[in-house]
Amino acid sequence: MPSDPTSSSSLLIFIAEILLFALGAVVVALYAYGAIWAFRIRGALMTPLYRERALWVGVVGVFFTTLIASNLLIRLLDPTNFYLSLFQYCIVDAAGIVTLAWIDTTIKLARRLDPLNRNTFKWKQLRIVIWVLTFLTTGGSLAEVIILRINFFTSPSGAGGAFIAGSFGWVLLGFIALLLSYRRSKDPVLKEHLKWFGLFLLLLFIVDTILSKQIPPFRILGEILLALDAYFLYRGARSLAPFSRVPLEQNALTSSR
Amino acid sequence: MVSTGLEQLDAVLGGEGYPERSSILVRGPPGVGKEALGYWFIRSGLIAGDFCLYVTRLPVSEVLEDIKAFRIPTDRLPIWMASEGSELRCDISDLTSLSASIKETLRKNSSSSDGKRIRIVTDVLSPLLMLNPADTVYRFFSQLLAGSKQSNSVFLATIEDGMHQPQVLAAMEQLFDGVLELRLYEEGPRVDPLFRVRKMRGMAPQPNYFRYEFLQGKMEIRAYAK
Repeated sequence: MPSDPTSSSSLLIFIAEILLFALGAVVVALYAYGAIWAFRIRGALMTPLYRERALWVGVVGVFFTTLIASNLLIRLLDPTNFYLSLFQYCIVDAAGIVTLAWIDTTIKLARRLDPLNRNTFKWKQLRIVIWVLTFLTTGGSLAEVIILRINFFTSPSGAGGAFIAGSFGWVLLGFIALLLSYRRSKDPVLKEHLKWFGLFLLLLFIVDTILSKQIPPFRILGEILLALDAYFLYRGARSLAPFSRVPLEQNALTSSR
Repeated sequence: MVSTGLEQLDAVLGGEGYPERSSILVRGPPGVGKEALGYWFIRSGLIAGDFCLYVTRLPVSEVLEDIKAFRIPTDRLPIWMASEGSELRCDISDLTSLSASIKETLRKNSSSSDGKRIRIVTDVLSPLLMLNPADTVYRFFSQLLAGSKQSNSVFLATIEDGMHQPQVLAAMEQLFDGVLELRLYEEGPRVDPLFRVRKMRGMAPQPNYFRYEFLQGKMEIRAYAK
């Protein structure tokens, strides 16, 4: 007996959605684990500037955990709801702000590590301009969404393209300043952290491009890549400070006290 | 003995602190609070009426911000030798003038302060090692430490772990009378900040680690048990 093609394709879509949801839940848990590690290391650090950087890595982790979790849940609940869509836009648009906060703190740290304490890229002055422009472009993007009532999940072209591009442009400028500052500091610990966190941001950018396509195979590939991205975040968090796992030397006297 | 400025650290060091006319090296990875030991040491010296010199590659304003963040009062301040904001300039790209400035300051103080004790704290060791060959820095510091001991000083320097070759770190440790090591240690789901006294003149070797924390302007030290 020939099977009904409509019901078999809807069954496939259903299975794909279940798979996507399960993958998404795993990805959310992985991102959260990276964030927990950042906060854990922050708790062990003592110097304010290092604690601040660990805090922002943790915030970035929490932020992307929220972003992916809300994306998953809203798709399940009611993707046509404007207010839920606006909430998702708010989170997406704030990505530039939290990333810039991490860049800003890391540049301050790289400057502190530079033996000659140089004000690379005139960052002390430039940061004010970049912060203002980032807030303006983020605000512009949200205003466009509200005025034109664009839905994040159903609109084919998305919204705030120029504004979001602007916001990420300022962040990119900050990243260039960060790389220059790092080259001057030559700190291997900072290098390790930048390597993993840079991979995290780069892959996130690539996945964002893939996930923007609404086709299930792309979305599954995107979720798998996001799991890898969560691993990069975890490594970025763990590289905030070097710590040892080698068993300590005999500590009998201390232990017996 | 010379108080570290931290009661509990004094106790770990045998009750009274660092030995007289000694040089102390605080080593540890970035961010673990090495410099805070220097701030308290200076603070304690200022209260005791010692001559205190802080040699830093950072601007004075940045060091003050850090001191405040550790909740250490800033009502009394040392003599600064800094890259900005001080009368005496610290230029780490010129070792000869740096050495001459420190020696001149010590000489002036020795002749005018009626035998007051001198406390010197510096964070320039790691940056100097990044800008100069290790043997040059070794010679510079060995001369500096010898000179400071002649002028009734206690010298405290910090060095970054993970930034220099292990043999360079080992060589630098040889120059100092005492070495305090701070480290982060992963134990299951926890990351603990630990410290131990690797060596101290007049003390038997101390293999034990202690867990530490900076709370309410104090250093809380607890015996570390796995």
